Amino acid sequence: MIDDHVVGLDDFRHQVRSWCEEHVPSDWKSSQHSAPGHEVVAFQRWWFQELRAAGYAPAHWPEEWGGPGLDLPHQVVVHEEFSRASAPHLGAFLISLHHTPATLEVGGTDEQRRRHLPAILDGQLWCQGFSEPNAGSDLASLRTRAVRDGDTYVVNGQKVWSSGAHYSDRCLLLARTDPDVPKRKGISYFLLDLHTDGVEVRPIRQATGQAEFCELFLTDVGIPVADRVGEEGEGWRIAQATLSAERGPAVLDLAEEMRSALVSLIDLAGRVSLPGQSEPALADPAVRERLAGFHSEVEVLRLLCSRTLENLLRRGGAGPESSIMKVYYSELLQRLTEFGAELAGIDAHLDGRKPIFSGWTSGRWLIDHIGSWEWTIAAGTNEIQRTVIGERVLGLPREPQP
Amino acid sequence: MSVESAIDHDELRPVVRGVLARECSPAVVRDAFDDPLGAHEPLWATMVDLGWTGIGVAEDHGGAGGSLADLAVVAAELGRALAPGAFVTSAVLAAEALAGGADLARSRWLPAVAAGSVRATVAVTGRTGRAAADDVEVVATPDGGGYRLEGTARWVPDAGAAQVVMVAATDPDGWPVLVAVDSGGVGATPVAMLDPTRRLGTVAFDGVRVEGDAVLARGDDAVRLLARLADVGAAFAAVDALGVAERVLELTTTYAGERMQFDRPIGSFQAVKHRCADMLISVETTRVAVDHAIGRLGDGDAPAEVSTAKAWAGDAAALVAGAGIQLHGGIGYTWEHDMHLFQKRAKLDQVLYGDSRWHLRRLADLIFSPAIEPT
Repeated sequence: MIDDHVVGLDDFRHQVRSWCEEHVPSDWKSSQHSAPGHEVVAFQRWWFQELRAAGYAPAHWPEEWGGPGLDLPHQVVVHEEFSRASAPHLGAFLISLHHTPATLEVGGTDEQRRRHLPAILDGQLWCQGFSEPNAGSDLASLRTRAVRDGDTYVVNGQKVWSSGAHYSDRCLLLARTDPDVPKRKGISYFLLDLHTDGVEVRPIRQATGQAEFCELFLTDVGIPVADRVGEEGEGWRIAQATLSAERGPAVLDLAEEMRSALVSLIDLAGRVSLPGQSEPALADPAVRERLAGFHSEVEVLRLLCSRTLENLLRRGGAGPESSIMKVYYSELLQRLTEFGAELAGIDAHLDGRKPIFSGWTSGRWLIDHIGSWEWTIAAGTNEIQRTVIGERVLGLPREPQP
Repeated sequence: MSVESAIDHDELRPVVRGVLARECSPAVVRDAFDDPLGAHEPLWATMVDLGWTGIGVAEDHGGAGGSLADLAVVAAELGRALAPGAFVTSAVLAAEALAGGADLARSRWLPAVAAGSVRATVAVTGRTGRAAADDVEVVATPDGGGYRLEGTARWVPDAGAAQVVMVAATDPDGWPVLVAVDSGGVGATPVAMLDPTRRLGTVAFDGVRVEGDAVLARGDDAVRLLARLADVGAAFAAVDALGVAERVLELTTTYAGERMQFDRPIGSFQAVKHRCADMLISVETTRVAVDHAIGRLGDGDAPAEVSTAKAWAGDAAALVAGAGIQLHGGIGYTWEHDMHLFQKRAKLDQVLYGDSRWHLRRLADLIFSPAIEPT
């Protein structure tokens, strides 16, 4: 019904497909649905090791990082087949598999890469400590302070929106080392061990009812100088690599997940009837037209994703046009999940939760719809992204600085 | 199935753009308004000299053996430039009809179409502007080995400038028939369109007789060929829309960076900047949808991809053109400014070969039919 975009890798595709048929646990959705967070994490850790053993994860990691070294078309096939098989998500590993290696690639030393990348392959979880209560869209105004004392930095401050911090071992941390220079120039980048004394993690319950995000309170936390990434004051530059990671290979997974969501949506339309009608909703011309519209939009998302990644591989490093992906993906997610909730009718309003780290299209449409604001707000709000597109892609003049 | 094109698009595109900058300036576009044929002979002669008319024609018929994707590079540039003339009509659509038609008609006309010595058009649409057997209003009555044609084909592109017309008709049993007709024997009446950059006409057939050697296809072959022409037509309307949208975005971004109000370029205001960002998102999403459809169509039939691209590009280009006028303010609403030309061209692209709703409904039938079978 929905075409694969990669053609000509039939043998590899069959290999992945039969592996999925044998290995994807048939009951994982029901068994994970009401599981507490630590069990979800343990399950995803187990699944990650299964995928690793098969050579499918981390799909985008090159061999020198200990990954399978698949080229882009092979990665697309892996994601297409996982989507087709409704394989478990690796939501808990988003930062570990994407943001951390992207950061270490740009700013890390060989020693740091040797230390941390194998640990991630063994299942270590990372989170990100960028935003603060008063530094959201204006991230560069962050106030967490790191003061050097011999071979150690002493860090004090507060971070917020750290997804998965309560299950993580390490944190990608931005802190101010020099308050006397322009705000972007005084920031440094650290790899914080969350088990250090003085780190307190408090989960935040979100609009969806889940507690996936956390606050981090840092009180006289000691970070060894060896855990600084890059030089002092290079934090802002290196953070751009971190942020661009979620608009790199991570989007492949999101795009294929959206394709699964479309399949679920069409399936839903075949099962439910609109109020006052006896035929399935899928027989209603207006519903069919809207579903066809979503089909087009999901196809465009997948094509845009492949195009963005091709450009990325050609040039090395995600360009600002990856902002287009982010805006387009998140707003499509919002509309598509809203239509799912509309089709599901008043039943969609029954109280329900979804497990943490289960992705953004769980099929609990209203919860998914509410959760979609996570994507229009996080990682630079869509308003910030539109400014980035306007200024850095189209070259429009900047807002005058006050 | 697909043959890797020998033409490098990154080289072809700037060449085409350069030629059009010289020979299809905004002044030239406006001069052509008053030409009832809209043929724009100097530009046509240049395209013929450069071999563009043969890009998509097989080498054994005198062409370059290129792909639809190669032709799309030229076609998108023509959209950008608001170019008048019959390039897509003749070198893409009529050439496709001939290439897919019977041997005799193909060998008779295709080399001339490739060489540009003959301009050809396709009369495959009826009242609603779609290329479909249920829309066609020409009847072909068998007569000897050929047919006698009665009825009217509508919205025929470049009807006045064409020397040969590929006509879709239905036979008395309701089957489609495609024939090549010399335009000397038919009556083409220009239709005044709101989009002054293009020429459509009505072609009336009043008992015109065509011989058997002019038959392109009948029966199942004609069903297939008509469907193919409908999709190639829709895909190239989408390509034109992409070119239009690209150019509108460029002009608007430039203007927003230069136009001063409140002592600032208006493009520094978020309200303007964010709308430009949305225009770019529309352009880039259109580009991937159109490229994908053209690529798949080059390999064979691709109705779902074409409908996706056509619905997407038609709506996106209309949206972008509307935003372009809005962000230009009053000057963008004047006749002397080009914005309304882009808008009119985008709006015509949106409706040609099936509007967006028609394509979405077709897409729904293509992808959902199995799902509503009784269980």
